[in-house]
Amino acid sequence: MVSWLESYLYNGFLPVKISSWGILLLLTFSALLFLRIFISRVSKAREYQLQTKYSKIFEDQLTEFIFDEERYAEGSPDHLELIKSLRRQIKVKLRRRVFGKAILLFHRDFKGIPEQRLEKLYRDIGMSKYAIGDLREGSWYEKAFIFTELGQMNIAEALPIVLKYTNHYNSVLREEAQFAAVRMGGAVNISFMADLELPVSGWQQTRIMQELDRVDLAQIPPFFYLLDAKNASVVAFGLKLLAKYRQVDDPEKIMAKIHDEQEEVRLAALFCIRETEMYSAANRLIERYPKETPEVQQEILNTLGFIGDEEVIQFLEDFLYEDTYNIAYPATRSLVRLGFKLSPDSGIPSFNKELYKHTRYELFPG
Amino acid sequence: MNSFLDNSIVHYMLTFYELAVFYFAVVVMSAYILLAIISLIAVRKYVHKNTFTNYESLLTSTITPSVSILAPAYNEAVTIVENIRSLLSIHYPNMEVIVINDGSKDNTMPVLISAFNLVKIPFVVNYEIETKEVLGVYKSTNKAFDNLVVVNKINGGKADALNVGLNISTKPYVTSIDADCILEQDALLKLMKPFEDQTNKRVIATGGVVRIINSCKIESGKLVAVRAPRNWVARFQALEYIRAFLLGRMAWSSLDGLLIISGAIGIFDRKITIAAGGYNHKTVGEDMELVVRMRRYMHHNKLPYKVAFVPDPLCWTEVPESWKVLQKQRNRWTRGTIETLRMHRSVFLNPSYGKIGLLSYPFWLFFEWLAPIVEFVGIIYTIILISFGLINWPFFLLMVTLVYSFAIFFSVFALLLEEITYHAYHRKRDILALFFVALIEPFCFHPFVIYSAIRGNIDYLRGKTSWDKFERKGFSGKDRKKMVESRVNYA
Repeated sequence: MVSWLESYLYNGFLPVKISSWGILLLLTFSALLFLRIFISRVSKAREYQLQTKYSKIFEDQLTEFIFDEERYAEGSPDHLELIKSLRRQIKVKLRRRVFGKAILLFHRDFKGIPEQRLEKLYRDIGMSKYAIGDLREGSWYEKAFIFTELGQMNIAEALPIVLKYTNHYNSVLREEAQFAAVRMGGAVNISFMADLELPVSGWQQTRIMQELDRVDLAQIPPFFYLLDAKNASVVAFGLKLLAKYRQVDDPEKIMAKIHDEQEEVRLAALFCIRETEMYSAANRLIERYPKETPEVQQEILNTLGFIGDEEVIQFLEDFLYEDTYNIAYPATRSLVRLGFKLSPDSGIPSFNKELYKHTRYELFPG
Repeated sequence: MNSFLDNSIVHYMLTFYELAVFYFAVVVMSAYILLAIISLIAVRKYVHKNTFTNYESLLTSTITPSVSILAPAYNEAVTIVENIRSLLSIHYPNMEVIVINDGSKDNTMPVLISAFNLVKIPFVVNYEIETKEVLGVYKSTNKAFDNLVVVNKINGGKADALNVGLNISTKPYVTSIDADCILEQDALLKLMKPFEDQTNKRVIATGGVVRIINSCKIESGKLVAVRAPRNWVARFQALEYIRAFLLGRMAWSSLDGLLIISGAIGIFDRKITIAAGGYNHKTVGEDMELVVRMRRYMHHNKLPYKVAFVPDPLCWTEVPESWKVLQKQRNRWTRGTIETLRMHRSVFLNPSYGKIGLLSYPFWLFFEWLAPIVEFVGIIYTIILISFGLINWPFFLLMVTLVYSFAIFFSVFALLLEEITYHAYHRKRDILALFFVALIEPFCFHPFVIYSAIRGNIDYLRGKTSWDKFERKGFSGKDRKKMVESRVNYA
């Protein structure tokens, strides 16, 4: 090594030694990272090229398969040839990934018979076997993608494996497994949710709800069993589902939830009562009101506006003298919603009179 | 002179100084390298996670949480209508736009009334945060503008206007987007995702990445191609923003110690924002101050919480292209930092605040506020040593090379992270331009940043409190320029 460089790198004075090695390492890494930027560009461009090439091939094949039903009828020479060709292609991992993406896109855009034909093709060429096999190895995001694929292609035989991951500590893996399970089993198989240990996020609830929208209404089962779950987020989700599908066969079970320990559940119960217009709950809510937190109190006042009667109006009228905005506002709004009319010579404070005008305009702007 | 040099006390002092500077530099560099590694892991995880996200779900869902967009306006008659139309067209299903006319002296209010067919409505304001008086609340008679609310109030500054917006809003989340930014179409959806993901910890705020739009190709108010800025001042900042957002903020978010959410783009939990006291009009760094106060509120009340950060480039903004204007901006940022650190000094090394007390606050104090001062003192000291012939040239050059090598490494690391994740700069020449900036920046741009920070410190000591909002060139011609000119000093 050049003697001057040596004198720096192996200097007896520690700061000089650290600085010299630091400079050497930092500059070397900088050069390597810079090189990596361009390698990344080249490899990305190459991968993109290959993906585009195979996407085009697979999309053409799938388009023909979908639109030329006669030519690709089950067992026809062209159908057998297509299966053979695809089986050969998907042996290579990159092509398998590209084909997986292509068939998922097609599957998303079609309903009914084409959808079923695509699912069958997926099985016939052995994609499902590859996918299940790939679940044993690979990183969490690769597994999560396989769940998406298996779920969308409705590979029911993978359900036992998928269910194993519904309580996984990795949130993405867990959520994709839950989503796949709903897809594979439809609304009937949502029962696994009752055993979930970790909280179900609002995002996941939204996704599952949207997935259930695909299910025929006649096939939607009662969701009351979700209210027995130990997981508060599952109970809250169950209440939202009951509200969405207007399931009111067991009103007592819903009303019991206004006494739940978790505020999240109590709020969801109020939402359910409001959406299903459960008039019988009004008196129970009035009784519950004094024991509640401010947030739930506001929601009770708001809910009463949807399910109230004369008795409720009497209860709400007391709030016309309330000077706390967050209480007076929902109470006045509910009164207006229930058709209450304030007489011009009423002796209530001017703040509440103004609030009455405010809520009246909000609900009946005309 | 020789006797002075021979003095052993002086010799020891010099050695002590050299070692102190050396170890300070090593600590700073190690901290930044650690942050860079944490950021790399976090961004990669986010990108992988995000491939499974279909934001359309939020768009079509009936249970998507609602958001209020707060838009304070002061003397913006020329461009207000265009800006509001742009806000109303944001891709989000359940939102309202609250425009707060902060006592404009021009005809902002009449222009709004006429353009959107506004009428004054009966409205009782819930003054949860004390503000200047609201003179009236207006809604449009046109159903197409049902989600528009216009508030007319007495002038009180930007923070006061935002607080009025917080009082008026009835939605659970609020955001204040700078009207002169261009947002990615799904920016709000992406920013709302962390709130929807929350389970055990309440997400109190989310911030997004701000990128530089100078020299980018824009068509009909939309960004169509990303370019490295042609202007050198802006180009330096382009690299700086990539470093700050992709490496710094992402890492702090991952460590749950993020203290700042850019005022240009961020969503806040309205209830917590109000409970914490809303925007503070006594500081020029209200975005950072608000986040620190909200965090303190959550700690005091022992509520589990999180401040989230979305590393996707969501908001594109124009940065100053002149040194003079840049100096004013950096000066204000420094003052904002000092004000916030001073207001919340009890957090410093206070274990009851957890990571923010033991990590984030000390980091901001030593590396964001004090580091430029230490550097400045170092430069002065070095000049004195040189003039007295006392400099240890080999050691001095070694230190300069070490710092320079680190600066290059850190910038290239940020560029690589940008490349393997978002790949915003498609053209090879843009990446090369930014790499060249990384090579020269430590000599051209960094000293200027130090100078601006020092000026900020001096102005803070002098008690300067003005905002000095910079004059933008604009995306769509002269009108916007006029508006920006009129907004200078709006605070």
